[in-house]
Amino acid sequence: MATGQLALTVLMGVFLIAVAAWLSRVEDWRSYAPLSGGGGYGRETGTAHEEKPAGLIRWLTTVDHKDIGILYGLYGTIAFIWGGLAVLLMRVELASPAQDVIEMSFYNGLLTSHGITMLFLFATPIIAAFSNYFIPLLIGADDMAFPRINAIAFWLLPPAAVLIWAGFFLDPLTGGQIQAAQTSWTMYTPLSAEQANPGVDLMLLGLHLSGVSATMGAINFIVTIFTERNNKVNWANLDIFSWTILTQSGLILFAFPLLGSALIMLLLDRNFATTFFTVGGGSPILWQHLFWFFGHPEVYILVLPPMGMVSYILPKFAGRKLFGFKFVVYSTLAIGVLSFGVWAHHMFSTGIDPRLRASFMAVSLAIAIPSAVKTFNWITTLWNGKLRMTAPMLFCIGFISNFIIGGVTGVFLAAVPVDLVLHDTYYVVGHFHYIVMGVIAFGVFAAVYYWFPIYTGRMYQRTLAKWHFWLVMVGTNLTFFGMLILGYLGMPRRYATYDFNPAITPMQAITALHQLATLGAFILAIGMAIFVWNIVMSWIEGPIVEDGDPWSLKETNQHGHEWHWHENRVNRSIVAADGGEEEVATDGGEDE
Amino acid sequence: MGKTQTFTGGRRVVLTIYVVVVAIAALTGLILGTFVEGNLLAPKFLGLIEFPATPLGLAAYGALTLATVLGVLLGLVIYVSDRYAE
Ligand code: HEM
Ligand SMILES: [Cu+2]
Repeated sequence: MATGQLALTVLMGVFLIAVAAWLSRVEDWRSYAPLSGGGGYGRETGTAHEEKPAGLIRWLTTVDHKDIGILYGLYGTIAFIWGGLAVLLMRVELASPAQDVIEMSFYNGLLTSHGITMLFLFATPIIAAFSNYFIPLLIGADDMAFPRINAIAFWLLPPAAVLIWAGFFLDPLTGGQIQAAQTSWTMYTPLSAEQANPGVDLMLLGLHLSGVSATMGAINFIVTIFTERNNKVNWANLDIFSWTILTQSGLILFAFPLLGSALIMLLLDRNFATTFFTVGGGSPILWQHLFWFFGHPEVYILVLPPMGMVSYILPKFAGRKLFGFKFVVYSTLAIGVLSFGVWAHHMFSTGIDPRLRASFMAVSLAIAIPSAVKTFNWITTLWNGKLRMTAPMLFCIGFISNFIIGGVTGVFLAAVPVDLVLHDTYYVVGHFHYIVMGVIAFGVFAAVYYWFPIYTGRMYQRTLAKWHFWLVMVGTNLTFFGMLILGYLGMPRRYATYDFNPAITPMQAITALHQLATLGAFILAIGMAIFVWNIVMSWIEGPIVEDGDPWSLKETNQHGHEWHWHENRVNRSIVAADGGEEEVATDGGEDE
Repeated sequence: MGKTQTFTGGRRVVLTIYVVVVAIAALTGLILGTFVEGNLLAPKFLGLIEFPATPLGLAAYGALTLATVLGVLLGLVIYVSDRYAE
């Protein structure tokens, strides 16, 4: 076994070196580095895309930020479907107390895959889908600062997913020799160090690769926003979405390399008998410190850009500017800094020093303040607004109300005495899903609908979009409210079965709440199926948008850079109408 | 693209969110009071006024607490909106 793994590791290494060698040969990279001339506002970067090859080759070789954004979007959607199917299976198992649908070990594999997939293969890439497509448009750049590194960062992700999911496919092929990792997304040692299953190593390698990808992307965004802005765009009028991406990229730059190092140490523990995180010689608590020093900033890496999307989109349909723009930017930066100082609130119950606990509790409560500032500004923007209830606006409003519930429940968790009771119960699961599903995903949906006319040139079906909203809103609240209550009743997280002493905890109530949560999950799934259908069908045959201002933003003086770009493109295609570079032109009939 | 538009008042939407979130707090109290019988402590509103540890008592406590906390914030929103247009 050990030699087999060693061979595998060496093989991976050789493979990576070969790829690097090949890449360094194919092109002269330096000719594409726009910085070589020293800061380039609005200069040609040599990456304008006059002609693209057709078909699959185009997508495999593209370095256009818009194409790469779409690739990220496709990738995130596939990951969301995988993670969603995994959790539906789990919810089916949990609909009754006994183990009756799937094996426990399979349940644990699904649990691990769901968490890792949703955080690293869905949420992170889906944000990159929007930042890649729209940051250059919003800041008036020709492309990203390093278009090729941008492409490489994306293409690291498919192998990462293959490695992370590998255990599921190899299990039947190897007769159970290699299984899906069953470590949960936190990979707590000693469990994760001692499981002999090579599927864990594959997952760790995949996770590492996804971290390399995120870090490369982050560096690219930082450089792009600093050096590629059009000279009309300065720090004072940089849009709020770009601000959040800049902050997020800074967080990634510090957090992900740390995760990478910790993962390497864990791999060494597993394969080369080092003892970083073992009980004898090392410390499982050390793993938790390293993991959460990455892990807490990670939740803000995920939530800041959707907050930026909502701060950007909400005013467009409220008919007025974002209230207190400056304070929204400051609160973003404050959250970015503070998020590195609260990691030990995930470790209140590990027996760390009570004085440490108290100080981490204080910082955790402090981080609630900038979050409250943002909420305050959104609500104030709404208060005197005349709202247009389009699909993106509905998702912004759903975002805010879910964020209030997720935030209030989070503040309770930050209080040490409450956390000691609720830690590792479904309450925690309910809390962070109000954030990850109710907030992060809702922000993404708002952005999908808002920018749909730009990246597809067409319009989505509005009725289906509203169905999507209401199903997802009801499903989210049903599922995760049920989980909050389950947690209060003492249901521990990460179990495939449950059994309580009926004299203390009413079994009927627990079962009913689990069934409610399962029902909610299926309502959510139906909503998501409608969403995917709507996006795909509207992309293929939706009405073509020939209006440079489909949301009537000029009336309220909010026609942003990206819509300006869209308007230019529409005008160009009306003049040319010859099926050139832009799709909208190819079949631009008058029928609307 | 049709440009006819219907508007909804921002105040109505904000107040609806307020009422819904407070109602959820009440519902939480109600459910907990129903299921977690026996070993419940009587909660004290603002640490002063004690509520009975019954379903209704907990519901009232939850609703009142959240109504107050969010109410203060909402009051601030209204105050600031009147003072500083834009
Ligand atoms: C705003 C975005 C937020 C996201 C994305 C988020 C996400 C998460 C996640 C994923 C966990 C689970 C950790 C685990 O697996 O054990 C968690 C737990 C926790 N969250 Fe949040 N959260 C957010 C906001 C907050 C806020 C505002 C607070 C408090 C001020 C908070 C306090 C906590 C605490 C204390 C835990 C640990 C609970 C425990 O392990 O017992 N979170 N959160
Ligand atoms: Cu945290």
